[in-house]
Amino acid sequence: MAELSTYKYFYEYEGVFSHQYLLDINEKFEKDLISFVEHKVFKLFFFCVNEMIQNVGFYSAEKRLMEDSKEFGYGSIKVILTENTFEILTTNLISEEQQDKITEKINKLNSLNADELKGLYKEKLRSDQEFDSKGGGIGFIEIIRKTKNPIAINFEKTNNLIKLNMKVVINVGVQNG
Amino acid sequence: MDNLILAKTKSTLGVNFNASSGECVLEGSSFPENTSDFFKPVTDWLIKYMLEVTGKVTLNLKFDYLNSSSIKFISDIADRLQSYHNAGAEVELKWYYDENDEDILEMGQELKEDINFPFNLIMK
Repeated sequence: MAELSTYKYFYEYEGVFSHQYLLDINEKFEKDLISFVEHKVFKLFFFCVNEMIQNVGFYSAEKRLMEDSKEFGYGSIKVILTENTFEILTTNLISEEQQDKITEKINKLNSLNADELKGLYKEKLRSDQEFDSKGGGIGFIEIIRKTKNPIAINFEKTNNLIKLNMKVVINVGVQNG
Repeated sequence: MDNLILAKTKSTLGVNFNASSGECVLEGSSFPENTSDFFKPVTDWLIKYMLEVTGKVTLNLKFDYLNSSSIKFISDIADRLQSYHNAGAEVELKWYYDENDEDILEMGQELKEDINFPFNLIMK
């Protein structure tokens, strides 16, 4: 990872990935980033970062109960903008069972070409929701289709749980000035 | 049958479904805290309209942003309208997009591929 000063934009957060956090951070990103990147790149970033934040909020094995009695996942996120790329990195705890499922799912999606991804997207649109999915099962497919980059994952063992690190890269056309 | 009107919020769509005219509008951004909870009354209203009113449906979709689970619900609504059309009803879908919003345009184009009732992509 390069020195912070070489980044055009850097953001990090560790905490509860609640719906209110999503609303607040969307406002911040819109304010902070709209002058840095083209509109279409911002829209792509917005799509990916929302999917990744909701993913941690729904599926992190570490949950926190909020004052309104709603439960959300705990994790962390980094957003790094360089000359050529946006990187979105999230970390959250998962179970061993989740590790196998996520590995299988992401490896499969990363191996598909554009036509295969489109076919799978359409198939998932019309299938019954996966039993453990709140996102309709198409979030990762759409991230890969829209960014045209694979999703990178790795795992770290911590006590009885596993830390999932996920990275999505968006190619950027940075505007002058 | 009552109209269905829901005010737009930062993360949920504005809804204006008219039971007399069949003019239905969904507009704004959709990344609800619970997507099923938001879309259930919308889908239920349409089902009731198609069963009881049995009139023309014109669905106007004016999206700024849809998360993946919302896309799935919009696709489900389009499928229900397709079945209604197949049963002989008059159905029209108008998908609005901004000139510089390729993402929303592509989403509409892909949905249109599987629909054979009047489906118009309209630049705002």
